[in-house]
Amino acid sequence: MKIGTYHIIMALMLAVLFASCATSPPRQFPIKYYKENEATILQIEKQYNKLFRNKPIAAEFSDNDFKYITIEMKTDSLRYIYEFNLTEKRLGDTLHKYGYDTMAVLKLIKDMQAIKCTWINSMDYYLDDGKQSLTFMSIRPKQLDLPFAEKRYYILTFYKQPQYYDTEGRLLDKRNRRRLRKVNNEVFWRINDRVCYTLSDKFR
Amino acid sequence: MRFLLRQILFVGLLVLTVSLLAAQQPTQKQLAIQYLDSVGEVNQSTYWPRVKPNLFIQNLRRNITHPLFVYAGSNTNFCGYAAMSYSCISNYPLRYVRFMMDMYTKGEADFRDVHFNPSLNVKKAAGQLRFKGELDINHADQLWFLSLADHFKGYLNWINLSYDPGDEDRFWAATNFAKFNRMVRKMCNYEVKSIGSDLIRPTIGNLPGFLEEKLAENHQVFVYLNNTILHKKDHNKVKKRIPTHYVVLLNVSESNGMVTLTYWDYGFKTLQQLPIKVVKRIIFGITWCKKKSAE
Repeated sequence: MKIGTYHIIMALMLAVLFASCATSPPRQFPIKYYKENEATILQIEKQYNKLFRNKPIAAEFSDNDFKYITIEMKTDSLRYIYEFNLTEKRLGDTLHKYGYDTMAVLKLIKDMQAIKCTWINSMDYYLDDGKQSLTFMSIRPKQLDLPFAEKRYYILTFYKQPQYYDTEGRLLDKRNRRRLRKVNNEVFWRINDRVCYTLSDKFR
Repeated sequence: MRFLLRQILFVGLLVLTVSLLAAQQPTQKQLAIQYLDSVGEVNQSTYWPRVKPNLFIQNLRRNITHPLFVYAGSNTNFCGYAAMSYSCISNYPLRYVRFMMDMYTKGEADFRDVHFNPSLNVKKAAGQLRFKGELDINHADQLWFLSLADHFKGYLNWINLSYDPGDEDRFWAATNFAKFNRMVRKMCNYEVKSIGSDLIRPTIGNLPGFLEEKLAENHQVFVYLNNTILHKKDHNKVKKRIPTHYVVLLNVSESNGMVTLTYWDYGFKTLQQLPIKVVKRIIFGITWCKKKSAE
């Protein structure tokens, strides 16, 4: 069968349709995803916070196949950034050298890989001139890996205290309850009192 | 013979006295702290209605004692100003603190030959930037970065020349390479040299060696690079091939095709290992400068 202009136009239209679907998943989708994976997500958050309290750390899967991990290790004077293949022995050796609980970090990495969590770190924010912190987690589930679409991520933020939301479920700045609080320039939505989400094209 | 011994003794004593006096001379940093101490209580500025005096002074004091912590804020386009400030405040803390006090109390001031009189919108915005991490409470830094962005203009700013809220993240605050070099020249008493551009990478055979050489010659080295690889933010295979970020280079070494860079940005020193081909791909501009001998 000869491929004519009609077929090309149809293919292009389908591609555009795919792309537009990929960029606007339904709002309920991240909440459903969170509910289905809540136990693992909360386990990762708990593990991470325990590690971070002892020694600041952040972890990032730097490739599409979740085979390479980049670790940021923070000391008082310097932040060290190293990338490792997960199979490399020097990953454990480096963590040990910098005084991290190697087994706990490796477990965290494995759990992150299992739910396709690309990035986890702790972020500071300021409320009434006082410093607060939250845990920032980016996840790239299969549902968001669509053809013709740019990579998108669910961003989850975990607060220490319950937060304020408007009637539409958008996160508010406590200082002025009418103003939306933005994290990395994104508006966040309620999952529960202390967990919010957004969809972003950047994982950090 | 006795006369010669007396002369040697006299010269020796003279050298000792001069060196002792020199050692007692307060440093620029000490003078800056003394100046800030002498200022005492500061009233709310009428020119900068949202800049709180207590946060302003607290921020100034910290910048003088620890210029390393100067933080451009998350997701802003202030990285170029921050890189310049790291060097400028480290080398000229007294000039910086005097300028900042003049700006706060008079609404305008001179830094060397540069006269700053920021727009009304900028004066209203300083102290109001939010969700930028520590920059939220660093009111002196908000005033400083906004004033620098308001004053220094390059072709990237032509599409948005006057400040509106939120412009700190947009082209209003962007810094192209020529603007960055001009700013360093005007704000610091440096001899400035550079290689590279906004679009075409410099052709240097041994890039790590070149950077190493500049650092070994005691130059302050700034690197203009593509941040999407240095601080990856997505997994898209297609990356924009443009520089987006400025860092202050502190150390560089190469071994087995891997380059270890130590640089300053975002209020912190970072040591990062990258393959040499990546380093060559991300660096678009290098500026190296040295303090001129006469101030």
